[in-house]
Amino acid sequence: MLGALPGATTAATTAATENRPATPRATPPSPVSFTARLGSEARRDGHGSLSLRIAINPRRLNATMTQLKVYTPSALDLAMSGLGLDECSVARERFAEVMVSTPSPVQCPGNALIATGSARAELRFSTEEVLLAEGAVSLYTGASESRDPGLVTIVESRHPVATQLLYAGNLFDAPRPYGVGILIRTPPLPAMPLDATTAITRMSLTIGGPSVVYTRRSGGHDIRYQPSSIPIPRSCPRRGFRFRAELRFRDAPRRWATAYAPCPRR
Amino acid sequence: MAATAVAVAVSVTGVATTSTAAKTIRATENASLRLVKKSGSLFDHRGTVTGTVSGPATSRIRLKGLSLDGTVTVRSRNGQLRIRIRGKARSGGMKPRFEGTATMSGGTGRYRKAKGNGRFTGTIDRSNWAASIRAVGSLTY
Repeated sequence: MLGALPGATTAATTAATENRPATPRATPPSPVSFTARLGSEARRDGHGSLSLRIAINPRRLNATMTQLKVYTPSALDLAMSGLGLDECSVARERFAEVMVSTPSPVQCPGNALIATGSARAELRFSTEEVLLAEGAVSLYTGASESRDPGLVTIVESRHPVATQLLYAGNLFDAPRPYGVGILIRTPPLPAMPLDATTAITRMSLTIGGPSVVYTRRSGGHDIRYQPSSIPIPRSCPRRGFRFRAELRFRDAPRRWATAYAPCPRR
Repeated sequence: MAATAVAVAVSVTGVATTSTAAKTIRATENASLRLVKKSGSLFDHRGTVTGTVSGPATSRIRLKGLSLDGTVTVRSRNGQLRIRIRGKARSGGMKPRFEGTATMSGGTGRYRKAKGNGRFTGTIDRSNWAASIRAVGSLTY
């Protein structure tokens, strides 16, 4: 979770951009904001956690996000971290359900956990009647998805109803100057017991960090340890590490935003 | 990083002669390699290859993001054969699976003018960076 990094001092730069930028005078405030920052423990030529935050202002964009892509910089090689040593296998039909009754929640192996965070969504019963829902997000390595390394996103909501939502996704090879891409599909909930449409308005994820703890077997004992997070190069771009987020919506044009994660200390 | 073993094996499944000067065969290779040195995203391996062209082998592989790019060099009794492999990770976990192209790219001795194309699949064990690679394709020499 973003809040799990109390010392994350680096201020993130956000630059959200519309699909078709208007003239400078007429540019409206973007409905999408995106920030990226490395954890306070991050050091150059070492390792560090990475926090990402996407927010959609529902007053400026009343649409349902169906897909989120995050392009990470090639200099921060997610694939070379110690994260995602196991795989979480989820039957395809469970993703189609999206909403899973909590009596039989999906449980993923702890050593498949990559990131933790939180999400906020609006449950829209009508244009006037909107409820806010919040939940904890866990991102796991999943089984191979369309010939790409798979991802499983689990959202455990607590308010206003206790549910578990499952979203499929995958890692992908992002175009230069980016490296590994993260894709999370967030289809509209098909069987809402509350008869409301759900629109994610905020998602925060921290890749690695103190809330990701693995277990390994040694001498007949289980030993808990913190896996190495993302390797950070010795050198750092002047503006910081550039990220890009691309959001697709069911009922609105695609939006994208860029963010720069400031360089960590040496 | 712990020392790693990588294995590569190659075997020939069929032979078709095209001329007296050059011979083209269909080769299947299996390699088993262990890590001897890691420098950033660059991995040096040593091990053995069995198959059409068998013998001790070395490799230099770069892993960057989801991409793999490297060369496996087999030292057989008849000369060295270089196999270039380029591919992508298809799965995650402890032993990500890679797939891509395998290109025979010359060597020494009998394989000085070797060429050919094929596919490879392989895994890399993230606990010790050992690699297991299987390449299938044509080999002209």
